[in-house]
Amino acid sequence: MYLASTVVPAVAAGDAARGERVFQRCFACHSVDPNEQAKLQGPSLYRIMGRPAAAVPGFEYSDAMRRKGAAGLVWDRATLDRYIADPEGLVPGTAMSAPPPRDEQERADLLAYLGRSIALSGGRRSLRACTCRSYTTPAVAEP
Amino acid sequence: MRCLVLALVVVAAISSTSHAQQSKYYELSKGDYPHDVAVGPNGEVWYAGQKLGIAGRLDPATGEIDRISLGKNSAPHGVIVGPDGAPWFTDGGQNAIVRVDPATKEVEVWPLPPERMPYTNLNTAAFDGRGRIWFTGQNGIYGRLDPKTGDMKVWDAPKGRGAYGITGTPKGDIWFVSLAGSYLANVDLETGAATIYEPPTKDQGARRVWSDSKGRLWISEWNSGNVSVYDPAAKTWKQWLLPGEKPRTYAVWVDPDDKVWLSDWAANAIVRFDPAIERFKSFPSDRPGANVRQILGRKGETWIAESGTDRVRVIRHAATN
Repeated sequence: MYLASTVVPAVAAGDAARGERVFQRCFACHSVDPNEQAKLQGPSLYRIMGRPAAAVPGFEYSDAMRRKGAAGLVWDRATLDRYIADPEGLVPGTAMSAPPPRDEQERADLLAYLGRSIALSGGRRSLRACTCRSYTTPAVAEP
Repeated sequence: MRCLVLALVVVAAISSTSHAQQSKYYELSKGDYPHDVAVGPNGEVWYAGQKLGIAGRLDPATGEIDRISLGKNSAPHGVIVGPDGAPWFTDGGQNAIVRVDPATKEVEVWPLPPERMPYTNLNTAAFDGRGRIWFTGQNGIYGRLDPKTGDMKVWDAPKGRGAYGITGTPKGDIWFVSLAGSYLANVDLETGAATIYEPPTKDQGARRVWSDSKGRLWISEWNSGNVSVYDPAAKTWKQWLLPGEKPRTYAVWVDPDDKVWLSDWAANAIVRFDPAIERFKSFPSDRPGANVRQILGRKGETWIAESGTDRVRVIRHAATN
């Protein structure tokens, strides 16, 4: 068991629709599309909830993240919230450099969006970038 | 927020050759997280404090640091010094181009048009030969701001997300690279149209780019671990793999003597490449996890932002070594 996750702070309820906009902060490096073809700097976040750290096959994780995965870190709402808020705090030496969303509600919305990708997946629909953008579709970060 | 602190300075001679270089480390406040660094006309050093939303100004002579808040939600990724001698920031948090007046510390903000994309993940900027600042946004845009008129244009980047490093040539042309798109692009300064040039190595992860004195474009390739160069006049490519095991080439800067400075995350080192003799020389950090994301300097001084150790490093060197 990963001991650090035994101190679980409460995570606010989130709104997945708003979280889709927050995901723009992650979009350059991550995808939630199971069919993503781009070679991105961060691992896929498709079905991230419940996944052990450093578990996407073929992705070159940092040594720091690999150690955390081996120690039993599993991504859930609490651990992801801590990581997004302070990547270095949870995984010292992580390669993720994105400035963390400082607003607790924004993080909650983002987590709701990431959690939703499970319910809407299964081949029926793939979630792409924020629908508010008008770009054609589509780099160091990880969980 | 504005405060003055003094940096702890550590000096080390780092070469035993006849042309010794001197490395000096300036300890910043914990959490300053210097992402990028740039040198001003009087030798002052600016850094982008990404996690705290600050502009840091270091006086190398005294070690004094001035930390200037750039605004609510600020998270500056890049900093360059413009032709006006002022630092210009690509501020992802504010989704804006930000200038700090070096004399008054006044902060000017030019937000990107939000209807295009509320968060473009602004990355890096460069000035063309006409006083306009060009910028990249990693979510898949590049743009141009004329500070005199406030006119701003934003374009979709080819292949979508990934637009990263950008540079101006001595002639004033603008080139940028795409990390996720793995290409080099030249922009038409008037229409903004981008023409792609693919490096020879597939999926190489072109992260940053810098022009040498002849307008050749030097590229740090993150995925491949190469440094490559494109010569627009000859239309030729060359590339070299950095030394060591599985190099990860992040930053690139070409000094006024056309020596190419790179950071290699795998080796935790700064690496200098001499194109004339095609040789590398390594300058490891004295602490693990330096995570150098940007290098910039002036003749005889290479300035290095150690985001992983909250330090700024300088390597002072003779021009010919």
